[in-house]
Parts: sequence; structure tokens; C-alpha cells
Amino acid sequence: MQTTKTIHAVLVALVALIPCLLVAQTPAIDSLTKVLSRLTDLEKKIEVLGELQKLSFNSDLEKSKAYGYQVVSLSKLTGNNLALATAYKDLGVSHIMVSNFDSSWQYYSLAKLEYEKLVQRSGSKDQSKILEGYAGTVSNMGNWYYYQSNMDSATSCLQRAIELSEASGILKAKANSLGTLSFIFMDQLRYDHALEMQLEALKTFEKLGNQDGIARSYQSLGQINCDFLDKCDLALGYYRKSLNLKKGLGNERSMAYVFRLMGDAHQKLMALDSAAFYFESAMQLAEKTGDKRLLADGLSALAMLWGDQGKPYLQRIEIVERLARVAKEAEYDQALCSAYLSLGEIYMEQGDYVKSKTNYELAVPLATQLKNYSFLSVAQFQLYTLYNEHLKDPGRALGALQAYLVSHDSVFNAEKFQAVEDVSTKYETEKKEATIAQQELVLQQQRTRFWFIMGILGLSLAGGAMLFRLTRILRQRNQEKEFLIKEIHHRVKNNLQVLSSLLYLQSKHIKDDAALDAVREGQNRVEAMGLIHQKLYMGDNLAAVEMRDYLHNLGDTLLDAFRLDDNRIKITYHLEPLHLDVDTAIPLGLIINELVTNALKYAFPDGREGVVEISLWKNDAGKLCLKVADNGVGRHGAPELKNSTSFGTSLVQLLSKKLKGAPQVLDTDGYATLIEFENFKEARK
Amino acid sequence: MRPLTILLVEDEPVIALDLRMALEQHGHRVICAHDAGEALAFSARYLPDVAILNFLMQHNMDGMELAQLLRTRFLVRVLMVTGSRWEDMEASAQFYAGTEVLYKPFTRRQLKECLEDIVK
Repeated sequence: MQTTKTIHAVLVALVALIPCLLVAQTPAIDSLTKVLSRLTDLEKKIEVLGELQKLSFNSDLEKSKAYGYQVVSLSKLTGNNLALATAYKDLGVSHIMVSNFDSSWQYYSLAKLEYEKLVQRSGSKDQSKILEGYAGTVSNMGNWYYYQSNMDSATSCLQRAIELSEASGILKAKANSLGTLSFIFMDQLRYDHALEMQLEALKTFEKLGNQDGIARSYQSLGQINCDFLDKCDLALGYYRKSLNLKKGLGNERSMAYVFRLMGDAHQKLMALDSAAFYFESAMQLAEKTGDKRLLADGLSALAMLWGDQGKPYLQRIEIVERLARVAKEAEYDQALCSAYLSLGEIYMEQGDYVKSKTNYELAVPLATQLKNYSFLSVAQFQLYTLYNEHLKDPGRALGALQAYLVSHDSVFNAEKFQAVEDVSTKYETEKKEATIAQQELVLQQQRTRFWFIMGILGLSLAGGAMLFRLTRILRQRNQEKEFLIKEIHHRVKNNLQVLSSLLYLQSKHIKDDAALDAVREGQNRVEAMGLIHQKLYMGDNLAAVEMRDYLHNLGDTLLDAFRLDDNRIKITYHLEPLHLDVDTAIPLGLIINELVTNALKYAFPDGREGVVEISLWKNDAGKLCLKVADNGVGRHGAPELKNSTSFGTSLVQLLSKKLKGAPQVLDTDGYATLIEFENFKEARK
Repeated sequence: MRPLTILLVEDEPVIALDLRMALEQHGHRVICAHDAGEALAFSARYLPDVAILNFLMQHNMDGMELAQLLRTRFLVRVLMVTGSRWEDMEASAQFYAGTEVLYKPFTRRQLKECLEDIVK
């Protein structure tokens, strides 16, 4: 496979040389060089130099490159971008022919850039030339990728070249690209496709009337049939056709190559004599054209064939030694190494172990340099065998064995590495696919979660909006209610004030004492209630009355009403801090109002001094206790509570009943009333 | 307490009469106005010491606005009487010196105490 690939590479490289292989170059070069020396016009000079660059490809690459560099500098000077692009492209070809891949790629890239610029400037008279050059460059880039075993990029470049070539109407690049594509398919063991491509290339070359191309296509068809499809008879037919065309074209170097291939085909068909004939023919032509590499290939093939044929050692040694000489001259290390290995083998078979050893030892550094581990491991293993079995040098044998194992490992490792790489590529791919699938799943889950959350969020928002609206409505209603309550209370308070004023104003017109007394008592009662309303709504709880403050106010008001603010009679208070509900506070306030009024009216007659004591507390039984006591004249001067018919006393009875309490008159020095209320309501603070 | 000239602005006639009698009983001079316009006019004419204002008046200007004018234009001390407990009113009253609030229903004694406080 390695060999096949090399052959393909050489073939593809040859594709780029078509123009220079068509004609006998040397006379043309000579006359052009003469013309060049007489030229003064720069454009014409560029043209001639460009031609010389192409023509010198085969004869002298260095000269070709030099012409190319001249074209580059001159065309830059004149702004002839087409010439510049062409020079770049051809320089790329020059470099690839000596395996200078990096420089080659640089020139191809520069050429591509220039062609692209030219293509964008549409309408040029050289449009088809530009497109042709562009297609050629892209095609060469495809070949470059092919050498680098980057088949995907190669394929895409070649396909693009085919498109461009078709657009230019000059199909040479298309045909060449098809040829390389055919090799790619061969490498991929897709021989049907390879054949198809090559036939397509053949058709295109035929259309173009490109004899060299047709010849190359026949040659390639032969190779596919012989090397891969084992149809060597059919292959020989193609080779003959190719050979005839090449003969007509006078392309002897190329003919030599076909002879080589024909020899291979015959060897495969076991027609060894015929094979030898073709190999010899190839060698003769190679010698004639001075192509030492081709000669070395022919010698190598023939040497192997002679081995198979069982030719005498001397002859075999002779041909291999010749091979070594030619390879050395051509600096063809691969062939030289193979020659040393062959010599080592022949001498070992002959029993000349020292010579055998010498040749194997010569092969080792070369193989190392070439990084050809299969050559290296063969050489080292044979050296081990020689030292161990024939030269009886166990120390060196061991060294050779170790070296062999290392290089063998290298071969093995290279294979293993490839295998591992394949496996790991497969694993990585599978892993990536699994990761992608997993990520897809995660994404799907995230998407589901996202929509679920969005749904919930939407619902929450809608719910929230509704709740907000509802709260606002409720708050609004609440505020309205509160406003209404405050408004009602405002009216109540205002009316109580009016009522109090009315009673006061009325009292001003009453002459009768009893009536006046009654009206004033009425006014006091209104004020007792009014004070409660005045204290209401001061805190958060609208219905709470703070009793201490209220009772002080009530006491002062009563003293004021009876004009007792001269300290003759004092009111003292023993009050537990209590907040009572308005429903309890009003009857309680009225009861106290009556009891204190009684005391103020009757307990201290005749300017007598004294104290009225108001006490309010909660006892252990949880009852609300009220005591109003005085140190006045006592029972005899006071009206009998139980049997009393006075309105005040009745009022106390009535209101006490409401609060589930019964007034008791206590036996004291003065007069004291105690009431324990069961039914009372404390306000929330 | 020295006799005062008191401007009374109360749109409830019964209460106005009662207050007037009560105040006059204590030796004060009482000028009654029925709305904000009258109040301003009388203030200009009589330069009262104290104005007793009903906070919620039925006419075009509320008690607080009138109180502010009286305070700033005629340097009158103001006693607001009201049946409502409005937090913003209390805050305003506290903010301005010489302003007291008396809640309805109030007793004569409370009125007397408030007046004493305000002219201190």
C-alpha cells in the first residue's frame, strides 16, 4: 500500500508538469533564452520568462524557480497580476516536486489570493484564462492535501477545481482533478468510484484532445485494474494504449514508467521473462533520459525478479550493486537502503556473513534516517541472526536484538498507535455523540423545566395580580369603612356637644331649683358619656377607653359642675391600669357619675370638707370591682339605695344589672358603695 | 386669666352660642364669625388674641387653611375644636406654636384649661 501510494504521488506530481512534458523542451528553452536577451518591453519579458519557468520544470528546477522569481518581481512592478498569479502557481509546483511542502503551500496560497482578486474584478478579457489558472491552483492545492493524506480537504479542493474549470470552459484542471480524485478513491479502496473517475477524466481529456492526459488516464486505468482488481490482462491493454500515445508524443521518461508498470503486471501474471523484458526496457529508457531514480526503480524491480527467478548470486549481486551505485548518484536513499538489504540477504544465503553483516550495517543508519522501521527491523533482525548464529558474537547479538526489538516495537507501535488512534477516534466520536445526546437530553429537560417554570410563573403572576387587585379592593373597602365609622363618630361627638350645649342653654332659663338640678344632672350625664367618646379612637383599637385618664377627667368635670374646685372636697383615685371596651366604659362611667354626684351632693353638707375615693380594680375572682367611698356624713344623710325611688339610684341599679353586678353599701364611717361586675369587656390594647 | 378677645368660628349655632356664653362668663370678649371670609375680615378689624376654629367647616376653606392664614397674617393663636381625630391635623397643630386641639365633646373646664395653655 505504501508503495502504491508513492507511485500515486509521483503520478499526481507529474500531472502538474503537463506543459513541459509535451514537447522537447531544450531547443525551445534555448531559443526563448535568446529572445529574452533581446527584449526590452517588460510585459513581453514577463511572458517569455513565464514560458521559460514552465519549460524548465523538467530539465532544471532551480532555473525554473529563478525564472519564476523574476516573473514575480517584474509583474509586481508592472501590476500584471495574472502573470504574478501564474508565477506563484508554478513556483508552488516547483517546490512540491522536491517535496518542499511548506513553501509549495505558501506559493499556492499566494496564487489563490491573486486569482481571487482577479476573479472579483470581473469583465477582464482574460476571464477564462484567470478562471483556468484559478482552477489549476485549486486543483494543485487538492493534490497538496492528497500528499498530506488529508483526503477530506483534498476532495473538497478538487471538487471546487472541477467547478471552476467547468466555469472557465477550459477543462484541463477538471480532468486533472478527476485523476487525483480517482487516486483518492483508490486509497479508500473504493475501486468502482476510482474507475468511474478515471473514465470520466479520460473522457474529458479525449474531449480536450489532450493526448498526454489520455495516456495518463489509460496508465491509471491499468494500475487500478492490475494493482487492485487483479485484472492484469486488462491492465496490460490499457498500458499498451498509454504506451503508444506516449511513444507518439516522444515522452520517453513517461514511457519508461509505463514499461515498469507493464513489468509489474507480467510479474503478477507469473510471466517472469516478459516482466524482465519490460523492466529492462524501462531501465534502458531511464538511462537514455538520464532519469536515475527511474533507473533505480527499474533495477530494484529487476533485482527482485531475479531473486524470484533464482538467478546466480553473482548476477544478482552485480545488479544490486549497480542499483546501489545509481541510487547513490541519484541520492535516492530509499532505493539505496533496499539495495543494501538485498546485498545482505544474498551474501547471507551465500554464507559470506561478513559481507552480509557489512551491508546490513550500512542499511541501519539509512533506514533510521528514512524512518523506515520495516527496513530497520529487517536489518537489525538479520544482524542479530548473523552475530548469534554465524559470527558467534553473543554481545553484539544481544545489542542487535535489543535494537531490533526497539525498531520492531516502533513498527508494531506505529501499527498499534494507528489502531489505538482508530479505536480512540471511534471512542471519541462515540463519546462525543453520547455527550451530544446527553446534552440534547439535558437541553430538552431544561427546556421542559423552563416552560414549566414559565407556566408556574405566569400562573403566579396572574394569581398575584388577582390577589393584588383583591387586596386593593379590600383595603379600599376597609378604608371606606373606617372613614364611615370616623364620620359617624364625628357626628356623634358633635351631637353630644350640641346636646350638652342645649342642656346648658336651657338651664339658663329655668327658675325652679328641682328642674334646674335635673337639667344639670342630665348635662353631667351627657358629659360623662361625652368624655368617653372624646377619649375613643386615640389608638389602634377604636373602641378602647383608658379608664384612669377618663375617670380623672370625669372627677374634675363633676367638681367643676358643682363648683367645688376650691379644694373643699377632694377626689382621690385608686385605679388599676385598665382599658375597657366602650360597651363597658359607658355604663360604668354613668354609674360612677351617679355615685360621685351623690357623694358631692349629699355627703358634705354645710361646707364640710372631705374626700371622695374612686377605686377600680380586678379582683382574684376576675371580677371588675368598683368602690366609690366618701368620709362624709354617712348613711343618715344619704338616700337609701335599695328602696330609693330617686332617678340616680335607679340608674345605678339598672346599669349594674347590665354589667351583672349588685351594688352593696359598705359599713364605713362615711358612705361607700361596692359593685362587683361579672359582665365586663376589656379592650385589646 | 386676663380677658381675651376671642374670635369664634363655629358653624354649629347651638355650640357657638353655648361657647360664647361660657367664654363671656369668664370675662372674655367674643366675636363670632360664620365662615372663613368673615373670620379674616373680623381678624383684621378686631385683632383677636385667640381664634377658636371648628376644624371641619362647611364652606370653601377648611379650618387648617384658615388657621394658617390667621397665624401668619394676624399672629393669632389658634384653638382647633373638632369631633374628628385626624392624624395629620394633630401633626400640623403640633408643628405650629400657639396651636392647640380640643376634641369634641369637651367640657367647659377643658375649654378653660386649653385657653389657659394657649395664652401662657
